[in-house]
Amino acid sequence: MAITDLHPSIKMSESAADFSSGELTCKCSENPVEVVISGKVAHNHLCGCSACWKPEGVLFSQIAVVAKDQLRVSKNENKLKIVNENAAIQRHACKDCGVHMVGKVTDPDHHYFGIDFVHLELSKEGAAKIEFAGYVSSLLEGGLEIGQMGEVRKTLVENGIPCYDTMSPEIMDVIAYHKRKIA
Amino acid sequence: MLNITTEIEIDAPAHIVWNILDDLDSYGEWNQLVPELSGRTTLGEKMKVLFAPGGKAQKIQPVIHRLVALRALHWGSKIPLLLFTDHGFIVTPLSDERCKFTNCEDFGGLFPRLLWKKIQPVFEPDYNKMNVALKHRAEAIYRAKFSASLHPVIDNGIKPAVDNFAGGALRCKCNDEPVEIQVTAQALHSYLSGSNDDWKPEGALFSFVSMVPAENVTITANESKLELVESSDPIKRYACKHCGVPMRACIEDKEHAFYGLDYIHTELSSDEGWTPPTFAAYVSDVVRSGTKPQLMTGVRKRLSALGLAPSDALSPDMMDRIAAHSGSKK
Repeated sequence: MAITDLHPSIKMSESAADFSSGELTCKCSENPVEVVISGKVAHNHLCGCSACWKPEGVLFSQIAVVAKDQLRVSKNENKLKIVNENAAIQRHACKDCGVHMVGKVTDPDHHYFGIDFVHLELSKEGAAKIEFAGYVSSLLEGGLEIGQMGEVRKTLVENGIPCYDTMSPEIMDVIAYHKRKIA
Repeated sequence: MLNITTEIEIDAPAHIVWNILDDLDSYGEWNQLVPELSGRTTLGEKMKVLFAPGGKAQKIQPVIHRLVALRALHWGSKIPLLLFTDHGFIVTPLSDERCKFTNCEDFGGLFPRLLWKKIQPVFEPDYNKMNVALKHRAEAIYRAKFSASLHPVIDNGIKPAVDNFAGGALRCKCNDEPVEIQVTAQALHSYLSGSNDDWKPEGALFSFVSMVPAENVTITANESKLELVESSDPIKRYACKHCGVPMRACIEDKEHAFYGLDYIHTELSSDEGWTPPTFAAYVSDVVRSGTKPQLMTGVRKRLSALGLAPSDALSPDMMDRIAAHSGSKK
């Protein structure tokens, strides 16, 4: 299994320039939604969950975060629609092409409050380094066979991508600490 | 815009540096520039800060206006026309074991422009001093071994399972009339658990949990002392009313991936030869019960050195089985 089978736009090079500003565009050929990012993105990772948007035929979603004051919908905002109002991360998708342009958190008590979620493959600038793969076992809920999991995990690790069935330990510790703060 | 930018490279992972910055209660131990800081690190939160550049402490109440966990915290004050500040703590990973800390501040408005010649020469050296203190604290934490008790079953080395071991008796902690259960099989899936839903002996960070087929578990004495522990958990825990020790937990939901197995604590048995723990589950949960997050690298390293792969869920094999099970129900 090649790493590009897991996601076609993974940049594995350590020297891949860190994404620090750029525009994301949806897949519509006319009047695309455009999002401007004006700061450094962080925590770019692969996600095996079924709620995140991913290109057709790809196993993992690729997702990063940016401070919410550094993201702005700059064109055709009226085409955006929230996929699920009840989800903690409200994914704003283009009504026409279905691509998720930004995930927002509105609850100030939520551990992700303050950041927006973005798919950097929607930019011309390309990607940032993949730090880890999260929710790997969730791929099985999306129809992958249990016998294929060993190879998926092996491919990730061989390419220097640690895999977890939650988020990374660093992020899980921050979430646990946040839960203690608000308890 | 007037600006102070100071930086330092630190031989510790970015998350250790971040967690020191987020440990507000401990600022007095190391940070002379900000000896006191209280509030919740949340976007929009007004913080109470004792800010002491040049040793002159002043109370300020800046608002957090940018927060990206593990990477960037910005706070600032605003008085129209007179003062605008944006103080940033930025942590940039350079490798898994090294990072850069940037301590920077933008100043705008009338006051800073009038007073810049007094501000800059006092602030900048103290920002650098804070950076050095942070570096020393982070590097010391990263080098230190985590030595507190994880669990008695592993603290002094792990005893291997005995071949053909076929179970034994488990008793609660009561001196008189202890609840007793007989288990007629070796334990499967034995692991440490950081979850607070699982019983931890006094002073231990982790619980030690094993699973056994429910058909191999029989209550043999003082069953009347067992009661169901109230919980929203789908796993039903039965504990001794007197000493509080949980003796068995049952999965009643037939749809559960592990239906048919009971959870037990084999440390309650005086028989030796039980399966030792083979991994550590729900490790990040120990932060919820009070372990500082900056110490977690030490916890995970010690677990790994003992051959107990740390996970923030169950083991990958068990997670795959659970996910495949829930996928097959769709």
